[in-house]
Amino acid sequence: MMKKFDCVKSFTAALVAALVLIVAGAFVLGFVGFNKDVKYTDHYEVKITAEESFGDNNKTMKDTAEAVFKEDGLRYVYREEIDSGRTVLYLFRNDVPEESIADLQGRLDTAFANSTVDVTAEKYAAAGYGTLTEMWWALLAAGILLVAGFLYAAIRYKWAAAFAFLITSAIGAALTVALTALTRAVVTPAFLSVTAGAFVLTMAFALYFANVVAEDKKNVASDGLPVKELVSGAFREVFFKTLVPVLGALVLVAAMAALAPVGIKFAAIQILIGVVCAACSALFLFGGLRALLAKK
Amino acid sequence: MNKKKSIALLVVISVVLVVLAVLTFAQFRLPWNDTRIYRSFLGAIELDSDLEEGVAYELTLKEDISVEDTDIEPDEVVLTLERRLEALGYRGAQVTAYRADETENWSFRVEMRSSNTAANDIAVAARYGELEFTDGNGTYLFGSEMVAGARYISQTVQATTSYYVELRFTNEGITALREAIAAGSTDSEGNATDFTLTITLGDTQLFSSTLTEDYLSGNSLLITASDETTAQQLALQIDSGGLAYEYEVSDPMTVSPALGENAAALVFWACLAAFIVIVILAVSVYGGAGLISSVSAFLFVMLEIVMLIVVPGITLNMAGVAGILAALVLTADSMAIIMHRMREEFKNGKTVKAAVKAAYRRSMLTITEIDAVLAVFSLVMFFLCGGYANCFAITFGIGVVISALVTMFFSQLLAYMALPLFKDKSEKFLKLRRAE
Repeated sequence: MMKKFDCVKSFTAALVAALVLIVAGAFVLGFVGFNKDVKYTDHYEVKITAEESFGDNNKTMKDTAEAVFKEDGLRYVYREEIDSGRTVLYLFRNDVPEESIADLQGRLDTAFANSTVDVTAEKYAAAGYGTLTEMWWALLAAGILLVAGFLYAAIRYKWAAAFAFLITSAIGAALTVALTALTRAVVTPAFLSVTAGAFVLTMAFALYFANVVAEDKKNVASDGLPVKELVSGAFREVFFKTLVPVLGALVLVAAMAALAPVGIKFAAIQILIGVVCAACSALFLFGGLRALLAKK
Repeated sequence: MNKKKSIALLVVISVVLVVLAVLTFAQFRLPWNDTRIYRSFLGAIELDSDLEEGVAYELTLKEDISVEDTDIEPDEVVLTLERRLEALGYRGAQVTAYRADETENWSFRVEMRSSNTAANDIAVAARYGELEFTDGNGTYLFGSEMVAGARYISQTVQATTSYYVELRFTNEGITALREAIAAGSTDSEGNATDFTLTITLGDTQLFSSTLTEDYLSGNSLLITASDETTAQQLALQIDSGGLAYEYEVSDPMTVSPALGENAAALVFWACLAAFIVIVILAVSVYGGAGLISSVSAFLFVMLEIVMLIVVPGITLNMAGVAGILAALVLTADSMAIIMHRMREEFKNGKTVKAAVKAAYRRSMLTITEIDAVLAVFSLVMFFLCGGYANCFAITFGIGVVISALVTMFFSQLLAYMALPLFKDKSEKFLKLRRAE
């Protein structure tokens, strides 16, 4: 399969696909915005508060509530325990019907005949982390690094590789943001860090690609080979080398998604998008761009 | 290196690694003191409120002001509170604004890591009102418009640390202060008196002390603080002023980790699963070279954990975990570069020893340049970004440096030690094949 695949020939298709995704993502971002974590957007809170600390009976409170939610087909996003379990807070994306709350209160009254357990339910408008203000500073940091990396790549690998490095790195980060918006993956405060991670991994993979091409160029056996063929030859090495860390990261994400609570699942999906975008940008765009720009 | 030396060195390294692994991961009762438990390096990492139980406060408007009479911008208040808490050492504090409907004013919920000074710190972060400078008679001198900034400084001389707040004034501000000191240093009859400067924020007095011209240096005034926390809090309050409205801070509430129950433990198990898969993949693809890489990656993980404890001020949150994971992927990537080149050199006709040597020599520049670029990125991000991005920059930056050292030096040492053990079988051990 690898012998058949030519990253230079497939470059146009890969670039078009990346640009389509980025433009579509930009539209979704502009018109709908990110799918923010329920804590930072409109949500519904069901709060169960016990009159006094119950110790193990906290489990009864949770079990009763979750049985009612299950029967009524309601899915909460977060469950938080406050004051060592005296209060349990459920966060929902959508409204919880009044009948469910009444049913829950009734069942809790039965379960705790000697104590009072109150259920309150209210819809909240929420804000915070909406501005993603930190993003501007992160963009500045990324911009500074892109310029520095571009100059370094220009000195070490010549202009064609430097421009390819610059464009690939930018596309890697842009793709991560666009795909996050398109797939409606939940954006938590860790999102910016994951995007930064995708950005640095794209740069690392692209720099390695540039290095392999430069090394192959020096090789006597490759003497006189056009850049296109050098790049195609280097792709195989870069692809297999990239496979080990990328597969490791994907397993990590799968393990997090399978084992971890909901908040971490959201972060895992972000990491998955970041790693895939970083690897794909470096593998399928850098080589083609490098060959195209060298020709020009 | 001969076989005996190799075995001796491998035994020493193995013992060191095992001891380090026990210290990093194991929890046990101390044999000489049955009542004390050793909690491991991993257990000593300070976790943020998204991974470990934290503390929450609710901030509600103190006075019953109608929503029409207030102009609260929730995002601005959230940002101000987050920045203030970050300056006080709560990088991962999460602030959300909420209200039931548009007829109600916004309230704020703060979730942060537990600490002994949390109650005091949240009170400082929620302080309200205008910054005012007055003299001993209570006469208004000027306000925050004359302040260029404030920062806290620590100075250690002969093992004694002193804490100061450097308060910088604008040119107009320092002129006004000098004039006030000159005017306040003599009474109406021309006798020398002490000039007192008082700084208040809303109805809270932040500072009050006698002052002479000698305390001023250029545009700055150096204020001595009793301890680090006081210095940090004072600098923050002078620098950022107060909120527009007075908020009542609720009693502290313990909250389960923001990312879900047992978040830290589950992240650990997920990371371990990923690490095991990387090891299996590396060993099955690269044989002995994969084993060397795995041991190196294991050392990387342990050193990163040690650094999380040794470097002061690190609190691990999900962004920090993402930084460690990115650095782990980078380590695996760097090792893959070396292993790939080892194969290439052997395929082209070199002996095993020469192939290993050439692979490390050729990879040195590649790995150094990638790591250097990423280390620069971490530094830039560390200085420019706050909050979660800052946490990512710290753990990733440390990881990049450790990754470079481990892949280029430690793994090379391991490879050279392994070769004499296998002699003629070393190509089989490293899964190397000649070109067909």
